[in-house]
Amino acid sequence: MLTKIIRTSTRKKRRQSPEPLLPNPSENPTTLSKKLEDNRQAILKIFPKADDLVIREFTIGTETPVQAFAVMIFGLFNEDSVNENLFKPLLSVHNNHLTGTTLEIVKESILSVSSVEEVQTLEDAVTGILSGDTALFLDGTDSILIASIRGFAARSVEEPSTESVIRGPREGFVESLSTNISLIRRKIKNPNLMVEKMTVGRQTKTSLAIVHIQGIANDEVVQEVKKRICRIETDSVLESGYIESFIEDAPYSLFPTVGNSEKPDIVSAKLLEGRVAILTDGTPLALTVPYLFIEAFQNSEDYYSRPYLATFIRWLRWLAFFISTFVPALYVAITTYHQELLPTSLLISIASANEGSPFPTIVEALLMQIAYEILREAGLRLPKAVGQAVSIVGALVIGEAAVSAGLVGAPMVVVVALTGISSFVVPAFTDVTTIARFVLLILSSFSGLYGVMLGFAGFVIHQLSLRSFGVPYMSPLVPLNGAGLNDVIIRKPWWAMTSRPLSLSRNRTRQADSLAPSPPENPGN
Amino acid sequence: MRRRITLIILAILLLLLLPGCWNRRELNTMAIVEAVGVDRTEDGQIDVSLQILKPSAIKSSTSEKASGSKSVWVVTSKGETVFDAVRNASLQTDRKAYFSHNTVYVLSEELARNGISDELDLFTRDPEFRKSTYVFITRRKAEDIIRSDYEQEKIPAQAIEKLAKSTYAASKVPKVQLIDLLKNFASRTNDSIVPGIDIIQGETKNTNEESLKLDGTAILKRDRMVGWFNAQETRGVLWVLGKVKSGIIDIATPGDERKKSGIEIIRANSNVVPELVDGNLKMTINVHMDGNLGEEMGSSDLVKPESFDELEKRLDTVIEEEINSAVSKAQDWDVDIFKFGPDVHRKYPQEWPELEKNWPEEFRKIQVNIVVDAKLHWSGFLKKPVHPTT
Repeated sequence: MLTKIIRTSTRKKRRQSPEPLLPNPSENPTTLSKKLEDNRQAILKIFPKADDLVIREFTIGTETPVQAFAVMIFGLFNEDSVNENLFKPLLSVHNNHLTGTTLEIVKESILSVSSVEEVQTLEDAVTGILSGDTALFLDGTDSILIASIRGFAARSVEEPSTESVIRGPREGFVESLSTNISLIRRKIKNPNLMVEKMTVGRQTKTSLAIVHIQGIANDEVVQEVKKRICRIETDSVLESGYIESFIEDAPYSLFPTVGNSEKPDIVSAKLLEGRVAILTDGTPLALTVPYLFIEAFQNSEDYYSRPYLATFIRWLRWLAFFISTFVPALYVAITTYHQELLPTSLLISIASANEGSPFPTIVEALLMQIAYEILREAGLRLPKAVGQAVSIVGALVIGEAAVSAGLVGAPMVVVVALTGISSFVVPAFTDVTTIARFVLLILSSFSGLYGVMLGFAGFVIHQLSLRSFGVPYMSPLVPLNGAGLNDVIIRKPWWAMTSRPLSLSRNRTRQADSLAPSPPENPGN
Repeated sequence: MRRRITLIILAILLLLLLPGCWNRRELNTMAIVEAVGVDRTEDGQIDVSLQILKPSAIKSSTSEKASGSKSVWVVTSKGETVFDAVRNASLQTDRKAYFSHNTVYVLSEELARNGISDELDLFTRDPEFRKSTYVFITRRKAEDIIRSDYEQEKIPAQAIEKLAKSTYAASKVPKVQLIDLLKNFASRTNDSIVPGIDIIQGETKNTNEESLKLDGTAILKRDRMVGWFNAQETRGVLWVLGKVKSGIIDIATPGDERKKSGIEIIRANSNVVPELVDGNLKMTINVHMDGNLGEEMGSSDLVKPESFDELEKRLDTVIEEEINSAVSKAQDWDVDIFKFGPDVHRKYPQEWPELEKNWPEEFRKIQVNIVVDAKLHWSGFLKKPVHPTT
């Protein structure tokens, strides 16, 4: 219903705003003139105020010298390489005996550049120039040579701070799309790894790549991803989050239906399970779809470490998720409505701790939760040097001082601290738990455990209604799929996980049966 | 469309707001009652004593109880009914009494002799009272027990509860919860036993030092108390009911008759077999006991098969005596505290309606045959008694 409300309001807004979108520059292609000077004027017209634009004019010394100029943008091309591989061969041509058009000669015999493309419209050339390519205009031809010798300031591959591991590869994606694709290619050396590039954003012209493995990923999902990305008509895509919000299945839901990761090994693993990845230029965060509820509880390290601990930690994550969502609400519900549920000695401890507290329990809970959220946010945004101060103030104010000043009871501090720490155990759902916690808290303050159960039922019903790119969000829990649970309730050893998740891939066999290692049959001969 | 949305939002709001936080109470507005004592005054009014927790006192003295203030507060109030008296207590307490964590009911003997079912009605009817609460009868006023202090625990009511829970160690006093009494009341023939509780004055320098003690067992005919059983008789009852879990049996040491040995009961069970011969009921009580030689006073060497046989023989006699004393007294008083009724009912369903009509008479006439089978297993770390060798 909420969905409908918001949908109608947005529909109305759209109707009320007649302003057209900014024109897309590449909509009316301009053909080229054969005259060099005309082209030069055209380029200058397209870039009226671009002081970082470089136009280098020169002459190629063929039998009949040809006037030419190269266009590029300062800082986007690799200067050394352009000098060495483009200008040097071009300027050292002297009366050679090559035959053919100038264009062919230059392209085939002179330029020592791996990627040279021939384009017919000025707009294509402009796109290339803006991406860091060097455009070569020759007199007497209506084609442009685009030599790709890009080079710009970029971060090197390093360990991401968000998904750090103890055991497992340290490398993380960077802001460059081509680097990111190469990081995946290095993991999956297989021509079946399909990489399809698209461009999104009228102004930003952000390139992105849809990556999947042919034969493992479902073709329908791949088609659906392409379809959804094609319908995006927006000014800008600065981060993959833009794409995510345009292609989500349930845009109003609290639960994410598109996953993201900063690590090539995680994205590769998801590709190998049959998912589709969307890599966006300019951000280290790759999207993966379909995204299921259980994925939040799986961690790359589960698969690298031995199964017992991995299983235990996985259960711990479910517990932590439960704690961070429900414990404050349960605490409020039980201490204000259902005191008989507590063991007597626990009730006595809580009662004695709350004895002097001036606020009702729910006010206490809200105050402390909000204080915690403020501290958390401050801790995230502050410069590292000031971070120390935040934690001291936080620990002192939230913990010690509030209790000793008699503002809140000590059990509430324990509840808030436990909740706060637990919410970081399942990082993918930190936002979900934060919001759900407040919703349940309010419900529990109105009607006790009935409220908590109502909220819980509401969340579960909502989750069961969700789908991510055609896959039920809660699978393999609902609909129940026994084999799928091998990687949900427990993490079976690798040799026992012979099939891929049913809901993601129709090509299910991952490896041979009976790969369990065992000692040799005739030991010690 | 807009109307529907408004309606739905309104419905959600009403759903949340109309219950109006019903029954919401903060912990610091409740008087948590830990024990309830019921007396009857001479003019027939009910006297209810509530042992109320003082959370602030518990906080202030986390380690030492001796730091001054008591951690409970006792309020006594009068009323025509128990409920009236309980509510009258709110005239004295600023917080409303809360009974879900009540662990102990204490009734005075005076009240119990006139029947306890009237006084237990509220505790059974109101959902806030638990049926698992322990029940005690005292020779004194119930208020005295509720007001008494205890050394080990901060909250005397918890001490009483733990006393009840640890009765198994001696098996000389039963452990009875409200639900047990209610079950007996619901049957037509069962009578009840309720542990007695008393205050003992310390005889040390601190003359005002007092302590609680479980002492004897009150015997109830239906809901009316008829008398007390001592420790031996109580264990006799517990043997038959199969409720002996542990305990020590003292017997004369074979070969050193002036001295005693202690046998520890490890486990025991019983079954009761009724037999109807020519309209006369005969009950065979089979008791099986496993035990260890726990202590020997004296110097004879007991760790040999012959001695063990002798010990077992003596054990049989002692246990039989205990049961006998209980049975004969119960038959004198016409109280079926052994729950023979249901046993007979199960075996002779046809004859039962006739027997039930006149059960006290029938019970009195029952011939009881006691078969005890005691087994000794271990003798501890010692082969010979700790006795200076000569």
